[in-house]
Amino acid sequence: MATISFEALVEKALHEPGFFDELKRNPIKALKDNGFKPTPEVITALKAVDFDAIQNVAIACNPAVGPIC
Amino acid sequence: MSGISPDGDPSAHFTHLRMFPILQMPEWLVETLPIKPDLEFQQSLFNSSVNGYYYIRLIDDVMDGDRKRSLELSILPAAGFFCSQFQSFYQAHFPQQHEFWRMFLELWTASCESAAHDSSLRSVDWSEFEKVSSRKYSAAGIPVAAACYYYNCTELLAPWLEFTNDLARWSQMLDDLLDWYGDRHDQRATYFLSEGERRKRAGESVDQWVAREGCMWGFCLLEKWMSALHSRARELGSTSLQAYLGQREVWLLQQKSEMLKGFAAISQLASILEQVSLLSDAVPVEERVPG
Repeated sequence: MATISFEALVEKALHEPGFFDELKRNPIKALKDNGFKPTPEVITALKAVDFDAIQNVAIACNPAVGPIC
Repeated sequence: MSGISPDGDPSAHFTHLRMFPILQMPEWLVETLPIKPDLEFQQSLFNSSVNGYYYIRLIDDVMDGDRKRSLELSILPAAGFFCSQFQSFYQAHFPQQHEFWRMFLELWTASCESAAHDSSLRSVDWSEFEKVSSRKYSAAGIPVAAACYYYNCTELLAPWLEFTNDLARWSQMLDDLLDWYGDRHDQRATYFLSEGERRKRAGESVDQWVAREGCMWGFCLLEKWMSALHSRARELGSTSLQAYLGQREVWLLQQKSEMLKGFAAISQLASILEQVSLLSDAVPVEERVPG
């Protein structure tokens, strides 16, 4: 089974924030697509995650802009 | 120019809140003087600083080895144009023997030396951050110095250059903090990442350190320095400068809140997904028989 490391989640948060749209809207499909078997416990736990906050990290860091200071 | 502008608009680049206020600094200084500003001179400072910025930025981007390297290399000869424009506006206002040129050389050389030294560092400690990394902004003092000489207020040179250095240090730290991921990915040594390497726990990655305490540590440092900047700005007497710092402080707190909330949520998600692998033999949702 595939796993998603902490580092991979950070990478996705900064460069692929759309990944979390699917986890938010359709967690069962998102988990399956990434090689996970969705369980009720996990689905319940996922509902408590603030995905908007994760996606806002990309806006806060804004890596596409690069250094502008 | 559009590609490196925050919103793709070069005309808004220099007034973006994350931008070092190279255009505004001389204006804020002049605001404290009992004189009517010479608009032609002020415009010259603007033009010079815009050209100087693009010169430094072009060199900096090539040195950083960003993804658009081929494009940057192809436009590198434009650096010569930007550099000549940057200097020519000062040449129109200060004769060759003017004291301004000694200060120009001092600040410009410090900036160039720091940029070269900084790029060679493999790890950055506090002393190097203070003496090298932050000094890359030294050239930002040139238009400030020009205003002091032009309006005969050289007694303001030292305090305004000190403030410029302090704001540069703050800006460099903010840049280190917000761009930590790209810096780590591109293996650029920064003070923030070097502290991460020193402070992370055994077996912990730098990414995990950033989420656990690094982000908070960096923002706390920035808040502390911002407080000192406010005090200095009050001493300098520019209300516009104080208002600018107030805006940046509000923005900083928003960034801090968003990043901390985001990292907390990423940590929570990572913990859940870790359980998924442990529960890999559990019966998936759709395979369970109700009742």
